Amino acid sequence: MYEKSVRIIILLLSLLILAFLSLAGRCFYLQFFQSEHYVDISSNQLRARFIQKPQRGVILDCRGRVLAASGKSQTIFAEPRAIREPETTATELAPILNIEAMDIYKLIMQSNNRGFVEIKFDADVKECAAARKYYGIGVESDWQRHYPMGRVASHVVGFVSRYNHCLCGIELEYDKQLMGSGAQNILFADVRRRPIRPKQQTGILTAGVGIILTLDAAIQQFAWSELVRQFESYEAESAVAIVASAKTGAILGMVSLPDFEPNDISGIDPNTFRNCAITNQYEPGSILKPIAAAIAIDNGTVNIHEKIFCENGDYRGKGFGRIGEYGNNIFADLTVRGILVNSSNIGMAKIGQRMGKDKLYNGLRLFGFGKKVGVDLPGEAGGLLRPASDWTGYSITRIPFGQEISVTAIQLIRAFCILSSGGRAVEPFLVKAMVDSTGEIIKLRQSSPAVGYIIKPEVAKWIVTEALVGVVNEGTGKRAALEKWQVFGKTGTANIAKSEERGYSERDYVASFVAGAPAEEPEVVVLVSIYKPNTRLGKGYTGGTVAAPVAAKILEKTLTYLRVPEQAL
Amino acid sequence: MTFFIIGCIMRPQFRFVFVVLYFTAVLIFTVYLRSANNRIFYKLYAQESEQGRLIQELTHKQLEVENLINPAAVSQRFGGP
Repeated sequence: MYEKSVRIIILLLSLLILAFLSLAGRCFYLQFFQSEHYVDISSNQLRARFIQKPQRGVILDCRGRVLAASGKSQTIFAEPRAIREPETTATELAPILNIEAMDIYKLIMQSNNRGFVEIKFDADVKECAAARKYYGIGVESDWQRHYPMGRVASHVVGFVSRYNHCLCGIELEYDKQLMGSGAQNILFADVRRRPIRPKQQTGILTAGVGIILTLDAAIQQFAWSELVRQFESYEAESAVAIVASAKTGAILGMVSLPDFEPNDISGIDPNTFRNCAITNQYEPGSILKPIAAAIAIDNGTVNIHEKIFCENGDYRGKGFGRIGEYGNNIFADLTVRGILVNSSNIGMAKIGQRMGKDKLYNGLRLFGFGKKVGVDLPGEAGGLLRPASDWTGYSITRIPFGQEISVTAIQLIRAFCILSSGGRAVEPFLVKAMVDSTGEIIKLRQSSPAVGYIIKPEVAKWIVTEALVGVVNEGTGKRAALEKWQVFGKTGTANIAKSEERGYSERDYVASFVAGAPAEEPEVVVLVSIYKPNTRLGKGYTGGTVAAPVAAKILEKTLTYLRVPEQAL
Repeated sequence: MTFFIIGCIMRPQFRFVFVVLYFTAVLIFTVYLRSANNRIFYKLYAQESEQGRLIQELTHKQLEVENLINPAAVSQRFGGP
């Protein structure tokens, strides 16, 4: 009996020892082989990660109006794998979110991502509060970009998509500065994921830099509304309007059509993202004549009193073919003023021949043709001005009246700003200042100092106040005349070169007009170019008919808005 | 010191109860102090979140105002394109 009891006790003790050994073995296994796995699980339970995305910087116009700003938006999402009864959840969510139950159900069931499916973007506070009570439904907050001016300033401001893709405008050019820098906070959290104390922080949250443009939203609106009206009326392919300060080159307005709505870019043709004002290169036509004439007068090739024989409308010769006048006009002797007022091609061709290719080429380069202006926008084209060594007899007779040269609208506006500011070098610019998140100015663009003359001030003054005023008062730009201010300007009607064969199309034109006012002391320069107005409408296609009225309206509204004193004409 | 004096003048049969109560109170207070840091952090975090939410609300209001008063919207209200 005693021996039996001892055996039982030994057996029990052995079992107990075995049990303890198994337990020790299990502990050893967990501690040495599985420790990382359980430490991870434990850490995930203890810690909560908060990724802080920086607020993208604002873009303001020169008077502090918001052109682009970011605000937080809430997205209600579902985690399909966590929802046990999708039908019930969808039915209960439907009246809260104002979405059909069937649509919610489809979203939950048909999603490939079982961890996340977006139910409603930009939900309001009440919807979020009600929706997050359901198991498997959550709310995610993210920045959303707003563009109060909408399509009016679309090409200048650009846009950022919901997925942080920038494709054009200031948003793209200054993406790095606007973006700011994010941070990640790792915190110890309680069972309800409430933060208890900080564990670790990586990065410092810094909001993006704010950008103040030279653009004036009101002037931008004037330019946009007038240009859209004409663009639609003439069923044009594209159109551009630029308004610049004559003295500083600051861009006050820049419109490119067709445009797009930056607040909703879904389904938009990507071609519309192209800013025609800086990317379209075209032969400018007669609008280039004042520049060539100014270069010729400045370097002494012609003087303002001299008369040039314009061959009665038919000028031909070996090495440069035949040159005629627009509308088969016939001119005999004309002064430089007469050539510009009547827009004589032959007169300009003869000035070009006299000047020679080197002087003309150098002059045009000084005016900034054939190279990028460097305005603060992406994708700018440099235009085309072939080296003088490649010029033929055709080049020296055609370039003075705007053929065999390609320019962008921004290059033209710079050239006319140079004329308007008395021959002084002017660089168009769009960004006036940059301000960090504390309001400190980190970059401020000052007006260029009055040094570096491209042509003599008296030549520039004469071209503006005599020749270009004559174009508006007596010549091809009569439709640009204003009652309260003396306007100067120049028309341009350029044939577009055929894409598949040699020569120019007789149906496709670029109608341009550049204008400025007041002529004595120019404040503003406006350029309007309308590409391929529909000639079949029979309403006209010339710069004087299509573009001049638009330029005049923009100019009138802008001068009134800027309170430029009226003149007694 | 005050508790020590009270303890001295107290009847001996109540001293034990008093000491137990005293130590219990000290322990509770210690635990309270130990978690104070976390509580304050949570409050700070909650306040920061609230401040962020209010700033965002203000931003939204500002954007709403901008949407109403910017030149494009004004022009549209007056029948512009």
